[in-house]
Formats: sequence, C-alpha cells, structure tokens
Amino acid sequence: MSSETVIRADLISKKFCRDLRRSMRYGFSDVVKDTLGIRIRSEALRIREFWALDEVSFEVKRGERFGIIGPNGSGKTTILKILSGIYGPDRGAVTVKGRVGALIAVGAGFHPQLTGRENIYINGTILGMAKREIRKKFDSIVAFSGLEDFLDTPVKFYSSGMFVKLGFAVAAHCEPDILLVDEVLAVGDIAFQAKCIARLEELKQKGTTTVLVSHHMPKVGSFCERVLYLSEGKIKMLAEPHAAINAFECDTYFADEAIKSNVQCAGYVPLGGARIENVCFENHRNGLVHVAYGEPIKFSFDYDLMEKDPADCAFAVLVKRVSDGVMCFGTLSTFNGFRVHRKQGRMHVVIDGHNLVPGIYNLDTQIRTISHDKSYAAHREPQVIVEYPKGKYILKNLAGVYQPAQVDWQLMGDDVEAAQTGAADNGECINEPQGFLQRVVGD
Amino acid sequence: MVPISTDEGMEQTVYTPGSHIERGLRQWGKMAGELFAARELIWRFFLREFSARYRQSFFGCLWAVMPAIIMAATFTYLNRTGTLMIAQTDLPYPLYVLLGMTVWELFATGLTRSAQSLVNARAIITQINFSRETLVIAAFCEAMLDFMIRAVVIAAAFAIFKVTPVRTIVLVPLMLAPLGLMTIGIGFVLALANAVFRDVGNSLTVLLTFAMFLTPVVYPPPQQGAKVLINYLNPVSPFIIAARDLAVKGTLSRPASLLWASVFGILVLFACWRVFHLAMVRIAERV
Repeated sequence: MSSETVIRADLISKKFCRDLRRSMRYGFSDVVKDTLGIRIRSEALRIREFWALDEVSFEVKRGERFGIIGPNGSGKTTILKILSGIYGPDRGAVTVKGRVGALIAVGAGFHPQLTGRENIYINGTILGMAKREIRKKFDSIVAFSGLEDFLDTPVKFYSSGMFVKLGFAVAAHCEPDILLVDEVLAVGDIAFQAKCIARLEELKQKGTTTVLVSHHMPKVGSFCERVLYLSEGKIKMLAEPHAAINAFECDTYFADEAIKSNVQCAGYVPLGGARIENVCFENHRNGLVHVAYGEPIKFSFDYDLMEKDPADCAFAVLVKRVSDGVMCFGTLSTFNGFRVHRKQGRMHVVIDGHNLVPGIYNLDTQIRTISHDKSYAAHREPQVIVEYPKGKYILKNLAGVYQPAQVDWQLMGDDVEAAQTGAADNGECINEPQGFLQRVVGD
Repeated sequence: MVPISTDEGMEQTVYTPGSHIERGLRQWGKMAGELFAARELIWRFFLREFSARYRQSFFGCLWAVMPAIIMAATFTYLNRTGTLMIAQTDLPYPLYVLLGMTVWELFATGLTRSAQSLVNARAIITQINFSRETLVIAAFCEAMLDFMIRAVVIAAAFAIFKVTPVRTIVLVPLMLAPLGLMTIGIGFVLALANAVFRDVGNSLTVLLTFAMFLTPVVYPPPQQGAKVLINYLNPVSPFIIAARDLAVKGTLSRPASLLWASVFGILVLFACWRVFHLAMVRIAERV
C-alpha cells in the first residue's frame, strides 16, 4: 500500500433541516443568494437545522479499505455523499483524488419497464462508463450477475436479489479509483456476497481504495483495515476494526432500551424439573459481566435437581454472540468428564481458552438430560462482554468462532482439595457462595 | 463539480462550502465541457424514457399526436358552428390550428417534461453524482421527438386539404431552434423549482393552457390595436407566426419580432443554465 492520501476530510460538517417547509424555503433562498453572488453563512445553523455531520476529519490512503460504522442516522451515508460530490459540505473541506464510484444504492437509475440488457447500458452510462467500455465489459457483467437467462426480461419482474445482483455487477465493472460502498452487500444470496467480496479484493489488488459503510460487523471487521465509528455526526473513534466495533457494539446495545429489554431475558428460566439459582460471575458490574480478551470466564451457581435422577443430568453452557446471533459454542459437562452425582449443590465453572473475539455474548447455563434432548432448567446471562484488549496485540481480522479449549466443572465442597485450589484464584466464593456474590455486588 | 487540478495523472477534486460557485468566463467553458462529456448520458436517458414510455401502451406513438388533432377538431367544430368568431385564416382552418399546435406543443410538452425530470429522477440524483443537465435536456429531446411525429401528421394534413407547402418549409426546424433553446432554459428553472416546490408541476398544466390562448395558436395574430402586443410580448408567438409563414407563404410577415424572440430565447437559455448549474448541489439534498 502506498502512503499517498487519496481522501482527506478536513473538519467537514453538514447540516440538514428537520422541517420540510423550512427546508424548501432555505433551499430557495440559498439558490437565490448563490445566483446573485451573495455569500451564504453556511457555518451558522438556522431555525430547525442541525448538524448531521460535525467537524469530521479523516484521511484514507490509496488502496486502503476503510470502514464507517455507527447507529442509524449517525451520518455515514452523508459522508459518502459528500465524498462523491452529491452534497457540498457546509464547513470544512474534502479533497478526493481520482475517479469516485459510488455504490450507494445499486440499481439506481434502472427503469422497471426496460430489460436487463437495456438497463446495463443505462446504469453503466450513469456511472460514467463510455458505450465502448460497456460493450467491452458486457459479457463479463452478465456473467458476474449470473442473470444470463433474464437479460431480456423487464427488470420490474426481477426479484429484489436479482435487481441488486445486476446493479452490483454493473457498478463493480466501472473500475473507479475510489469505491464507496453503502450497505449493498448485505442483499443477495451467500454465493453472490462471496463473489462481491472477491471482486472487492480484486479491485484492491489494482489499487482501488474502498470506503465501506455497513451494519454487518463481522464483514466490517474482516474486510476493513481501519474503521471510523460515528455517532450523531461526530467521530467517536477512529481505530483498527475490532476496537471500533467493540466500542460501537457496547454503546449501542446498552444505550438502546428496546434492544436492552429484548436481550435482557435474564435470569432463571423456569422450564420445570430443576432449578438454577444464585448465579454469580466474576467481574460482574452494573449488570454486565466483563471478561478480558483471552481470559477465562468464571462463574458459580446453586442447583437443585429436585425429583430428577442425578445420573441422567448434565450441566451445559451455551455462548451466543449478540451482534449476529451466531452460537459460538455449547458444551455439556459430560463432554468434559464431569458427572453429576448430587441432587443439589453449588457448581463452579471456568471456561478457559475460549478465544471469544471482543463483543457481547449471551451465556446460557442449563441443566439437561445426558442424551441432550431435554432441558430442565436454564439461566441466561445476557451481557457478557469480552473486552478489547488495551495495549495488547490482537489479530486484526479476527471474527471467527472457536471451540473452548477447556471447561472445568467443579462441585463445591465435593472435593476439598480441588475446591481449595480453585479457591486460590477465585476468592472466598467457593466456601461461601454468598460471599462471592457480596464481593461482586460490592465492587 | 469538476476537478480543479491534475496531479500525477489523477484528478483531484476539492469540495468546500461554495466551491461550486465560480465567476467569469471560465465557468462557461467548464459547464460546456461537462455537458459535452455527458452527451452519451443524454442519449441514454432519452432512449430510456422513449423506449419505456410506449412499451406498455396500446396506441403507442399516437399519444404524441392526439392533443393536436383533438384541439384542431374541437376548434374547427366551434368555428364552423359559429360559436367562436375567429377571423378568416389564409389556410384551411384545421390545418391552421394543427400547424400552430405543433409548434406550441413543442414548447408546452418540453416544459412539462422538463419540469418533472428532476423529481422523476430523484432516486439517482440523491445517489449518484452526474451532470444533472442531462435529465432536463433528455426530457426536451422527448418533446422534440413528439414534434417530429407530429410533423408526419402535418404532412398528411397538407395532402388532405390539398395545400402545397412552399420550399421554405424546410427552414422551419432551423427557425425553431431558438424556441427549443428557450424551452430548455425555462425547463431548467422549472425543473429546479419543481424539485423544491411541487406546486410548480401542478400549476404548470393550467398555466400552459391559459398561455396557449394568449398565443395565436387557434386564431390568427391580431393585426391592430392593443392586442398586437401579444405578437411581441409573448416570446412564443413570433415562432408560431413564422412557422406558418415559412410553411405556406415563403416570406416572414414579422421578421423583427422573430429576431427579438430568438435573441431572447438564447439569453434565457444561458441565464437559466447558469442558475441550474449553481443550484444543483444545493437542491440534491432537498429533492
């Protein structure tokens, strides 16, 4: 990668008006002033206006893959539109080197009545390709879209996926120096998505700079080299992908009450037949469990099998990533060589070597039958946060899911030796379960 | 906006508040250059609209000539029954109206189509940066195509009424060029205005019908009195009068007013184009 800067945004700001009628009026007065040569004080807000982008600065080098993330309405698309020259900034300056191709909405400009073939030409021309260029790339575009059989069908009969495929195929062939991609890759089937990513890789080899806006964090994490995290038009963080993504995920999940209540189906889930109570995690603060990256997750709980036969029961832990719903791992105590032999007691669990990447997870603890087919009791810990390590090296494009290397199950008081070795790193909680809880609460 | 400097073969563009405003002669060169670079796009937009328009329609191109024929038929009827007192025309009256309507419709449909062009293309305007002038010009090209279709009907009408046109009829398209430029110019401003205030599009049809009666389309140009002013103040009138003159007489009855209207049309184009070009960056966010 060369160190040449191809995009330089210098304290750019953009204001929008919340009110349609005022917006019309402002637009009119701006145009009149421009025409008459009257200077517009664009740096001041008028009534009902707000800063959609507020003094955002960043630089992108040639060939770099730059991600922009943030909640809805944080200004991501506005940045792309300023970069492509659709909007002008109200303060600051943007310098862009090279031809800019925008994939802000694929298939924009498609005419529903016309066939796929005709639309390829129209869309290509709108994106700045010459007729000769389109003709030369036509076969390649069609092959990329995989829509050979529907070329002469009006696009109004296309499914939304087909529409996007054709749109992306055209856009991916216009070979800009800077490609702006806005959330379009999420559409289309998996095979096509993979094709898109492969195409973006190919463009990178040719030195194309990519700016990607997406809500799909694993994709941003694995594709981008640096990520800009925007919130309410301001830069929250500009860092390597996982640091920015982790900060964003933590902020949004805990700020948004709706999501909070959705995730927070915490606690004991009465399924019938058994009980899990007094679950306490190490590093439990304000309802969140904090786990340092690479460090074990430790917790303990009381259980009561009630009428169930201990020989037929096993404990299970299931870890699900909240951002994309991926089940990262699940294991049964029998797999780890632990057999339940008492009807009640307090369990201490250490999940070590789990390699969970920074993010937010649900951790379910369950009592199940050995055959795994039925669950008697369950407890959900909704917000287990694996934190981004500070000042520690982490693989840049880490977005995988790993099996835990080791889950250690111990029944407290069952084996004094074991309990005591465990007590060494877990404080007093093994001998005094309530004490662990108090210690945690007192933190 | 266009690149301002070239560096290592790569275009460098700088956007700042007001960077779209430039003064002096250079601006015109840039505007023309941009438009020339986008000529293929005009053609594509034109093809797109044209080929899509009649695709799901039974009568197809007939829709282009309907208004003129209906208008001619209606006024012929009103004239014959004596409901309307229209002065004697030197041509058969239906042919007279048809000729007038053909020229008027070039102006009127040109304006209505241009006015809608930006609003219809809202989706692309807010997503892709391209020369927006192309949309308006493509819309006018459609009106021009309609005009050509109507020319076929005119030819048929000449045959039916056994009127032989004079040779100067071939000059009509050339004579109408300034009218076309004026239409594009006004179209630029209407498209802009309609993008912000939808009222423009809504009121346009009403205003155009009204304006048609202030233009000698269905009646001969007034020869004396205060009404003569219509021939001068209305910039479309001289073109309609001249079109009839060139088609059947071979001489221009009012060359001065035609000259005036032509100069006016060209000035309108340049002024409106400038306004359009300046305003587009501000309008994109408010369409």
